[in-house]
Amino acid sequence: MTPETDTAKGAARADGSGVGVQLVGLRRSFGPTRALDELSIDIAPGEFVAFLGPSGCGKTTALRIIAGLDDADSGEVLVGGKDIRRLPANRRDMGMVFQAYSLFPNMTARDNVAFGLRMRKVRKRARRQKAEEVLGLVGLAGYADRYPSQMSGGQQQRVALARALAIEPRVLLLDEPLSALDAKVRGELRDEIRRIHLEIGTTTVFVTHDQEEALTLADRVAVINYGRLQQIGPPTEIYERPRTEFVADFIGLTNRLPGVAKDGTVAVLDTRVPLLEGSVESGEVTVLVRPEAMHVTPRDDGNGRIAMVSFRGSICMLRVRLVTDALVLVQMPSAEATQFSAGDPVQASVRSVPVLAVAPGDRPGSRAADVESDPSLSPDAADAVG
Amino acid sequence: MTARASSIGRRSLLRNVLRWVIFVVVGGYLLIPLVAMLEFSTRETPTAMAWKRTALGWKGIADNPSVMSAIVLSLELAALTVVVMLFLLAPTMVWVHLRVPKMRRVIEFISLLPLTIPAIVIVVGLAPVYSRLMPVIGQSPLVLTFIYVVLVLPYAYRSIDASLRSIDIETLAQAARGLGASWLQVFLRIVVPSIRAGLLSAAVLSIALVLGEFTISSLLVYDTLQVIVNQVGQDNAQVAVAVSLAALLFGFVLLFIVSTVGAGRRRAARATAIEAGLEEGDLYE
Ligand SMILES: Nc1ncnc2c1ncn2[C@@H]1O[C@H](COP(=O)(O)OP(=O)(O)OP(=O)(O)O)[C@@H](O)[C@H]1O
Ligand SMILES: [Mg+2]
Repeated sequence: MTPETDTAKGAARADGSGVGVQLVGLRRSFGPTRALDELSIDIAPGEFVAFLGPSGCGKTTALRIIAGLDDADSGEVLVGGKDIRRLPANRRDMGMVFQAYSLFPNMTARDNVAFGLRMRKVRKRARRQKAEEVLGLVGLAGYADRYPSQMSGGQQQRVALARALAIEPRVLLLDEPLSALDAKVRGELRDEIRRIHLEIGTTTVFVTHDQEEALTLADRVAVINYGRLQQIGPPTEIYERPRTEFVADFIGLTNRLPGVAKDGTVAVLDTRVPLLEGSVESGEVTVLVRPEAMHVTPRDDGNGRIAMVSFRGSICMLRVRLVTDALVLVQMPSAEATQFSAGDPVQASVRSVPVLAVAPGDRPGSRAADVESDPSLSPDAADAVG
Repeated sequence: MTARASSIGRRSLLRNVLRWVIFVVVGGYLLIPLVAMLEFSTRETPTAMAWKRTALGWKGIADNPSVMSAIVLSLELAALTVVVMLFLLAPTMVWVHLRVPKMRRVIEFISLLPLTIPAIVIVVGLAPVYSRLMPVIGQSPLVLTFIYVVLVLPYAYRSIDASLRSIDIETLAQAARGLGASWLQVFLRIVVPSIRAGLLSAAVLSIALVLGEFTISSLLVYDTLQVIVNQVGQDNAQVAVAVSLAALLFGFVLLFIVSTVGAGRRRAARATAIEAGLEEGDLYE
């Protein structure tokens, strides 16, 4: 580390942890569109948080406000406990990687990475040294002299990441850095980002609309919809204990089954299961059940028939047509699923794991509804279940 | 198999022939007038074709003081116009692009406006302004710069705009801001190098336009290159043609330099240069 960069902010992270970031009641409207609506999120020092939500939910807007590239209509951003609203973007010490390729085309990879240090008046030799070190960190040691046009998309995003890391930012902001890359490169770089975070421990906000990315990378996932925070928690909690219908629908696959709720439990498919916090507690409800929380056994007078068996490696997805004509998805290990084939009469039931119950009725356009209409269940949705 | 191979061979032969025919026709169309100018300007006896050559016409350029001073004046005007144009237009356009994108249409409209206004209208409109300003800014013909800057606006605007659009300037600027650059640093270190090709072609178009401008300077009675060429042409056609040819060649050299320097390392930059090169065609319409 050069003396020039070893300032107070650098020292704040000397123990390997970063600074905390708090978003407090952020609002931002573009004309009639409410991009952010009272968004409040508390990010611990050194934490890796993913903002997850559908396209247009305000993720980029939130990130831009943290970076100082946009202003909130109201609300505060606190970094290390200080309100930074008045600080312009170039004095916030945040490393940002953008959704679009953003390397400076007239500079080599080395000069791109060294740019932030140059702005901080770090001497040339120290700059070069740091640039090569960070390029090594992102696995591009031999690429320092390449221009952006001479690199693949994945390599460019790595350089962009290196450029953001080189200034030893207080907070690292990643706006869907992988979305322009193909699946294989995306997977590699995703693992790399996780590794680098473990290595340097900078507080990181990772924006994505890809649930798999969010769930595999983040310490905590903040699910956002229409500019509002739906739920924030560790990936397992988000997946297993969704608080709202939106979260349950957006993450993984869910079956929608009719049930009757009473005294903190709900009766669904002849089984009584506990209710999750946030559920509708009494009366007729729609119960949201994950495919892996379903279970089928062969039975001649059962409540449904197998409609289709689709093999997905170690697991199988069974589509079961209930006597009520509803279609449900059931996930089971492939070894168990071999006994079933289309047309077999079965008894479908629900395992005794807590479920979310919501007001009855179909959510138009929801993922569960998609399962009904789309005979070839979309592969990425299926992956996410596994 | 072989039948198809030979048919492919025939097709590519045909394509080659066609390519050459087009090349020769276009080349001839562009070169013959130049060769004719060279031929005429070096004739021994201006009234008849003959093989005897003379350099008198070309020597006439150097010998004629008004030609030399006109060349100097026009070059000065061209340089001034480029400088003023770049200093006015580039920062404005970048600022509008980055900070007030809503104004983009307005700026575009204003910049393209001079295209629709005939030179004579500009002169008639500006003559009173100039006569007022004369006592203040002096008699120097360099005041033509003000009109020329307006005149080159549409062409310069188009080249700069093309290169601004060919890169994601907003994201680049935001990235640079996030890394600690002030707006001035963003402009000088990121934007200008990224749109270098566009700036160069704007400069070349402006130079070409100023060197070729006749109507306005003639009407306002300033002795710029074209005005003098016209005058000289009335008593010595050979010198006039020699000057014209020299001006043309000068323009070509300039274009060549810019397209090799400006094409740069980047494909995007090259694309802008080509686009700008195409717009060059507008000039001679
Ligand atoms: N500059 C702007 N002008 C007008 N509307 C905007 C602007 N920026 C964002 N919006 C709107 O605000 C909402 C949130 O946009 P934002 O870019 O934050 O979405 P996002 O969650 O990042 O989406 P994506 O995943 O597609 O990138 C959208 O409805 C968008 O149309
Ligand atoms: Mg976005």
